[in-house]
Amino acid sequence: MITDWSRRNRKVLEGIGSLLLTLLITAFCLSPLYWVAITSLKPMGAEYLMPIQLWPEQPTLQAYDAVITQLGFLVPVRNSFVVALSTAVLCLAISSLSAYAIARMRFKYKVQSLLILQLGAMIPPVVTIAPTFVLLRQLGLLRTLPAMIIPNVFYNVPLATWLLASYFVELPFELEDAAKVDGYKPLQIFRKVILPLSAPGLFAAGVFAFIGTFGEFMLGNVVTMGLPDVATVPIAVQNFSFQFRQQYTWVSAGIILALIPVVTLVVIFQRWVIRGLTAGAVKY
Amino acid sequence: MSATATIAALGRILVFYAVAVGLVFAELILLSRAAAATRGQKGLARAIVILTGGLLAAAAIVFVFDQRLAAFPAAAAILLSVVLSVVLRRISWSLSEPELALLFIVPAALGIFLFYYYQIGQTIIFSLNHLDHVTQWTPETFVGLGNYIDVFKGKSFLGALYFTFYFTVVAVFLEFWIGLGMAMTSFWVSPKLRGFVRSIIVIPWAIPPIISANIWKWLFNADVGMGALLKQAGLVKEAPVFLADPVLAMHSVILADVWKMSSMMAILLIGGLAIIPQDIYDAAKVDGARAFYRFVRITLPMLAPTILVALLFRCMDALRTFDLIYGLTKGGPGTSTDTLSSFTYKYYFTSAQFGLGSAYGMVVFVMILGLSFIYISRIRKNLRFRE
Repeated sequence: MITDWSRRNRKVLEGIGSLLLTLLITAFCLSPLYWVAITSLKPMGAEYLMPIQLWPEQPTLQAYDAVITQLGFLVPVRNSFVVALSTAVLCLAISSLSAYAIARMRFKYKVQSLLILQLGAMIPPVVTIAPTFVLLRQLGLLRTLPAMIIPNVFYNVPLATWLLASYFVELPFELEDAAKVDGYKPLQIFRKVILPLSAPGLFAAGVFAFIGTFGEFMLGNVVTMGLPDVATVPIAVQNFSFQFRQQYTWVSAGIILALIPVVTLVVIFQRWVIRGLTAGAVKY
Repeated sequence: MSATATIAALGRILVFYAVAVGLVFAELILLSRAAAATRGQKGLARAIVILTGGLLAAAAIVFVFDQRLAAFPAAAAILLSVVLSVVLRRISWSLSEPELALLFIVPAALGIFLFYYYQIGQTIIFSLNHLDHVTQWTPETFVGLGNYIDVFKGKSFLGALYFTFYFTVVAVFLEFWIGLGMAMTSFWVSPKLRGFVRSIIVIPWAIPPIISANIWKWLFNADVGMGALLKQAGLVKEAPVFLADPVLAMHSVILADVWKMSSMMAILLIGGLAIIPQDIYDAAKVDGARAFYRFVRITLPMLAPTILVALLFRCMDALRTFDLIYGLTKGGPGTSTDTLSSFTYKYYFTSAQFGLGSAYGMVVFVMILGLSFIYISRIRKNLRFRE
């Protein structure tokens, strides 16, 4: 009797404990975002009222309206989508090929070619940003969106290659042999057998390239050179918070609008994000 | 810029890139076939093969210094290998498996060469030259190691070096323990909550660094941010001005980084915890091992390889932190929160001293280089490819 009672007691305690820890993690991860969200809902000037309202007394969408209509925030959002989507697509096209070759084809110097791809990626972009700027200037790309797309494609290729290779390697090698017996050519095997089977891996790699590029700031800041027409979301947010230092409701609304796409993506694909990030770092 | 104009410009670049990939690939194939045909021979043909290979390598190296000059050895190499393959009758349109693999790798490799290796070569050249004319960004005056001497002699160098390391050590230490706690919690909570907890954990990781910097900039604001909140709660008499005091500012930057990057650490560690077999824990429980004992004797040793990789990864990342500093403090007050990366950027684009900036950048690069070798050799072991 006593053991039964204590076991049930223990279960209840564990339930309370796991709830408490969940709340703690939620508070740690989300409280800064909560702060920004409530500020974006306050009317202009109310962010300075003391005492601070932890729940806006009259929630209003004024700030969002101002950010979208007066500051034209939808332009950077559109630019960011154009840049991040084209980067993700091009990056997948290039790195699925190289990952396929490295993971599933027989050739010499396989490890060496993988190392050359990966070691290059260890060079921090901040170190080489000046020559990159000069290169893009020589190509006549400054103040255009491709100036952000092209370097970002290759900033994401090494990780995507690694991730996709770790997916391709898990498919049974008999697939190719069977396809060869059926008379498939090598490119057909890649397109019709391997790619459809690794759709989740492709999607995860695409999400990474998308998120990384959506939030890329330094290169974008350098190549847009202050031209608002080609600014992406991170640059626009940085500029707003500099120009409108005093209007936190506006800045907050901009930040919330900027975060909606990325946060939605990672919450939906949380499982793939965790798997993708740990590919290679952890043995599966 | 309209979407159609972007796509048109992108299309032009892609056509150009495809041509470059085709040229590089064709040249490599011709050369490798000629090399295979003349293997072990000691004639004129073999000598020409070796010469062509040398010309190709020379073209790649010269390209870093002078892009136009590199066209000559490249053209000579292409000409020689075409002649060779005609003479040796090695022309065939069908590709063997290794050749196809090469075709698949060249698009990635060419871009990596252009945006990493070529760039670091250029940075080295920049760092050896005196370049501070805003209008003229071509190498003008060679100063040897002069820029490096200026870097090491500079008053703010030691401060930036100190803060870079202090930031890395303290931030990564805190991130590790918080991340480990979050990762273990995500396994320990009831299965119904697991997905929810993990979704919450990935959110800070996904937030663009510059946006997280702007969120925190406001949280650190004395009038309306955390300071005001602390005062309102009666915990402090005077609201602290986080970003105006050097020491407070340094720790504020660390706090902002810990918030965002603990998630990253947690995600990496979740991957490592997931592969520890559950039966080890069950066996330990049967033997009566307590939770703390299980953590020290099972979890930590089994997790050690992942921990090492995660720490290396985060250290490399922290050593080059830029967006956070730029968005939060721009290095201020004074230069107390400047890191070597933010100095690099400042010299590049605030004072247009590309030479001095490149020298700072090279210091960052060398610091990270050693860590990257260890990192790569560790993660290499985790992938098994078809040999």
